[in-house]
Amino acid sequence: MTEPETYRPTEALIARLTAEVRPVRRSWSPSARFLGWLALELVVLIAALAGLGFRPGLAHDLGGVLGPEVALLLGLGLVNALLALLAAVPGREPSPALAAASVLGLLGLAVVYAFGPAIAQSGHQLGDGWPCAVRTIAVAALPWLALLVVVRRGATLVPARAGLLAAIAAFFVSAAALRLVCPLDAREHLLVWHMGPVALGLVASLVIGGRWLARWRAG
Amino acid sequence: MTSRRQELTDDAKDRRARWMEQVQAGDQGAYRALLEDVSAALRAFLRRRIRDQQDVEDVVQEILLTVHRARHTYDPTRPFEPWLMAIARHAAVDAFRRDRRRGRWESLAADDTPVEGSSEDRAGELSVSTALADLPDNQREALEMVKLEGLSVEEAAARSGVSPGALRVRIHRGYRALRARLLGDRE
Repeated sequence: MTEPETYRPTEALIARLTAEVRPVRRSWSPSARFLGWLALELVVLIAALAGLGFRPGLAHDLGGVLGPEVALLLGLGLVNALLALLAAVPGREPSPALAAASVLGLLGLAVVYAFGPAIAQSGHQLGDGWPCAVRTIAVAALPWLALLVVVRRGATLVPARAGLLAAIAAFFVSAAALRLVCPLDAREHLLVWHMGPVALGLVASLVIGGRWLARWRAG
Repeated sequence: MTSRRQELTDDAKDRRARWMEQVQAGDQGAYRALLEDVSAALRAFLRRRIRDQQDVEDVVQEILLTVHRARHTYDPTRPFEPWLMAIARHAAVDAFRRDRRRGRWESLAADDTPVEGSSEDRAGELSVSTALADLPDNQREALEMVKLEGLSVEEAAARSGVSPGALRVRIHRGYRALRARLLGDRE
């Protein structure tokens, strides 16, 4: 007795995909993409620093706490840009612990700001600091969007994580740049107007990443 | 000593990587060979994780679609298996999560008794069969074929003239609508 002919969906799918296949342009490697992104980031930073100017006494301040602080933010930012680009390739996703480590680094910095030595700066009111938040977001915006677009053109299996990593990259570098510009070291100012927009950017990118970066799987 | 988990010879791994490189250049023969080859390996991988044979086949199809959409990201200088298995693992996890959610809808739909409430409330509540009758035709038919007649998703899809994916969407929406009808007024 012959088996009745049945519809075999997997075989049908293979036939359809085979018929549809066309040459594709292979994605650049994550390291090549990183170099491209870095070039953009450098242009943005140079433009921002040229436009905003450096804080007075920067060379002296960099010899103190400011130097390691800026180096930490820059280092975490650049590492996370590479991790975000790796997250766009199946099988090369960074572990969640790496993203968590960077967020912990930011929290650590916030704790240092909050419980470190209070620096009173005469004539400064907390409400006057909002331009720093605007500048942090403005300097981060283009590199952040560029990273999201590049990740979107890949095929990330961890969209929310990739979104978070992209934001850590762009906003940490921006926060580092703003420390070179802003002369205020008052803890409240740093927590509210420097850390605040970074935290906001991370949350927004986590949500946007989870939705927008996952769309490639829907076809 | 060769690991028992090592299921592929180096030769097979090289062959798949080579096929994938040809696929990126648009080679249909290499694509068919690759998809057929990995389908068998994926079934073996998924059967250790998913009990239902039908679900295994659904996830294999999902993985093949994902491979198709992500094929531009494969780097031929790197091994093929980690790329493929990352996709497979995520598809399996997604299927597990979906199944867990679906399990809740199924147990709800299978219970044909009115939902709990006071005796006065019960009189006004909808039974599952009434709620089912209120669903849009395509969702009701999809649920009836799969849950009452016991057809597989593929059989039901073939009978309805839609893809299995589209049918699954109808079933899912049907469950959601049922839930809204049965519990919505009480929440």
